[in-house]
Amino acid sequence: MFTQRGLLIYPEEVGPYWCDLLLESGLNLVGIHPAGGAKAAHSLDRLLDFVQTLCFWISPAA
Amino acid sequence: MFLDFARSLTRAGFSLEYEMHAMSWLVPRHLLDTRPDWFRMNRQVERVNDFNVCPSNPDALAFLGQRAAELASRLPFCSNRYFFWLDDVRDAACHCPHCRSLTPSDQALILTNQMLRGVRTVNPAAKMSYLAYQDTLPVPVSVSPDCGIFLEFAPIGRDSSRTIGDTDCPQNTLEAAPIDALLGFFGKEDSQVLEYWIDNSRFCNWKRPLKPLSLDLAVLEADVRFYREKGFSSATSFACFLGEDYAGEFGPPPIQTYARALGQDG
Repeated sequence: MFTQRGLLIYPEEVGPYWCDLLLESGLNLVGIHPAGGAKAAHSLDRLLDFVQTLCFWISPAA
Repeated sequence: MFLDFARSLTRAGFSLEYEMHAMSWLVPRHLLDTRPDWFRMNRQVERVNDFNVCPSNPDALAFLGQRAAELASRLPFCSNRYFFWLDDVRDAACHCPHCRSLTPSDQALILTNQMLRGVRTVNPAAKMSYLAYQDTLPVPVSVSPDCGIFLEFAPIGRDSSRTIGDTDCPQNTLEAAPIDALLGFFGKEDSQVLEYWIDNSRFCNWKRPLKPLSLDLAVLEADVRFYREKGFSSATSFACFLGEDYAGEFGPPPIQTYARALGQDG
């Protein structure tokens, strides 16, 4: 069996919904994956804001 | 929200990690104005700030290491494994006279080694993934991995309707071809598959509206056997576009089915 078994989700999707799914899944690894592409630096800045201020702002244009 | 999420999962034994294309954050593109020599040279012999940096420039490498350390220090609850990837494009290598003889994989490994050296100044137990993906799928030729570099294999070009080991599938044969050499080069310890089995964003072509995820369990189980036999120690998949809005429209995604398949022995 793989020692680490997991999945990656967007920071926008972090919350109780995924927490509950993961806790009952049998997995043991979760990765947070901000979007890449031309706005990768911006996505990473938003991730850092999210994990430090504990609320994620979702742009209406995103 | 994040704090509750991170605490609940890590207390339950989960590892929490961050995987991202970080190069444009680590070396901001506006620095081209003052340090053009830090950036890659394109095929037209111009220094450009579109993608990545010049892996032969010592000052660029020093800056990259410092920024990697800063980034690592800003990721709470992170395990000791870091995933700071290069830019998400093909044909993004440097063509300056010093880099010209280096393959894209060599260049990626120089940058990855440097990021690990930086992160280890703030976390001596740090490890860093080398992402084998697109142009960096082939094994590096002229550069060796520092201790603590591990393989992450992401076959984005695969056909997800066929098994990765299907030798009648040209795309999958191409993607899987370097696996043995990569595992031989980087070692099997910490080696990780980053797959697309439940990546609904890929199945939706990274655009909304959402579509129902069609998990092919036979392909997943065959792939798991293939990767286990190769010797990978960990497996993950993108699971994007499966959030609460997905569940509201299509019902809960098949996470337990996916998890059971990853947990199979042999």
